[in-house]
Amino acid sequence: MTGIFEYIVLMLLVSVVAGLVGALVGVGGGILVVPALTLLFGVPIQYAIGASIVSVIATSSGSASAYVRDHITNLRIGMFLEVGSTVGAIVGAITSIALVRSGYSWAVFLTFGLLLMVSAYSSAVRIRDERRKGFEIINRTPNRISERLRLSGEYYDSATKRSVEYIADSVPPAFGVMFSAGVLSALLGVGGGILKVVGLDSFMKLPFKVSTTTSNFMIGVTAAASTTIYYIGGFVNPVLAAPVAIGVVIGAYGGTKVLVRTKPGPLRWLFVAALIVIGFEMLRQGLP
Amino acid sequence: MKAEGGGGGRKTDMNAVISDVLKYGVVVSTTLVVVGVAVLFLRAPQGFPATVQQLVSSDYGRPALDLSALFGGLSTGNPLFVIQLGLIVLLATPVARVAASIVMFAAEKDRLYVAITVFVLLVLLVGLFVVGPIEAGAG
Repeated sequence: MTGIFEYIVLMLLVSVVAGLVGALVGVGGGILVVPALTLLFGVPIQYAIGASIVSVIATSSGSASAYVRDHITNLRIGMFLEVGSTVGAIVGAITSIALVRSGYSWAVFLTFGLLLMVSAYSSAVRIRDERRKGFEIINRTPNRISERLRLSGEYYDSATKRSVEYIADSVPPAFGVMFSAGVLSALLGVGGGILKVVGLDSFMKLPFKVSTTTSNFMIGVTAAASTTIYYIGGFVNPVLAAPVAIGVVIGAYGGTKVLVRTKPGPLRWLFVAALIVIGFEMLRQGLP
Repeated sequence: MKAEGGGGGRKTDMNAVISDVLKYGVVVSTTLVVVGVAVLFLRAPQGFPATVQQLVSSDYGRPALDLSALFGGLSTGNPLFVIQLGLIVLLATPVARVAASIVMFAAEKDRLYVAITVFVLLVLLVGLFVVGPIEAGAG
């Protein structure tokens, strides 16, 4: 039995950490918040999702603000892919509420756990391949879709003091991944940054910083699409959500300060490690 | 034409406007939530549950959905409603960002992106006015 005020203080601290890690690896922090709420405080999953998804908006908006100003985020790529991710979020929220109401939430955790493991594997392979070459895989070959939709850009990397140009590759599969990211974001109350980064990185072949920051930018709008449904549905309890929202904003602000000045290498391994740990957690929750 | 980082950065700095919308949205909402929590610690409202389990099982603090109930609660100084207002501002922040993007793409005379952004706004409004009320009714 956790006292309410004890909960507020402890959850505030947990959320600061979640926000910090989330900002560093391009996820919303919800992937840490949901397990904390359900495992540490025994909050029913639908209320955990409701509290978490609110914090996802806060994390995303807070850190996206800085990246957008620094011209690292690609607004057109983000805006275009939000078409897929917001529609996915509506589908995900409806599915999640229906599954929890009919007692099938375990199936969602199991599927998500498996997906996290697959994402961890593919990211690890990609980082290993890059290590050999010594640089990121960035597409600069023009293609018709990205030309038509103006899905290209350039950013100044403050770490290497060089301007980096890029053109989005494989737009249709990336769009499909964004729809799935929207579904999963809404389904579990997480940012879905894991899948968004995979789509922007592996399919579009954008520079790492552009993909994480554009992912972050998209997460807020994607989360808003499902949060309105959870909020009106009565799953966002203000007392449960308050310390989460405050904590992740503080953590994400700290994370933003670090990311802009750090080279991408170690961050990516941290990202892979996080995928594996969270994947195990999700699988464990789905098993009987 | 030379590609710009983020696709903007000509006359009006689209990035700066969107950045401001996001920043002030988060600052205002977080401030409201912090004030609400502070008041909650100082002066918890009557019937405030003692544990998380009681909070969840009693469905205490279920959000007020109509504005008159929200402002009625705010006028009594009930901290739960201050937190709620903060969460509503937070929820409105990405929506405002999308709306600002429409204006900015229109200023750039980019019809394709105006259409794309209007579509995203419509999806958000469908969630708010169609799917949300259906889920609330089904509970």
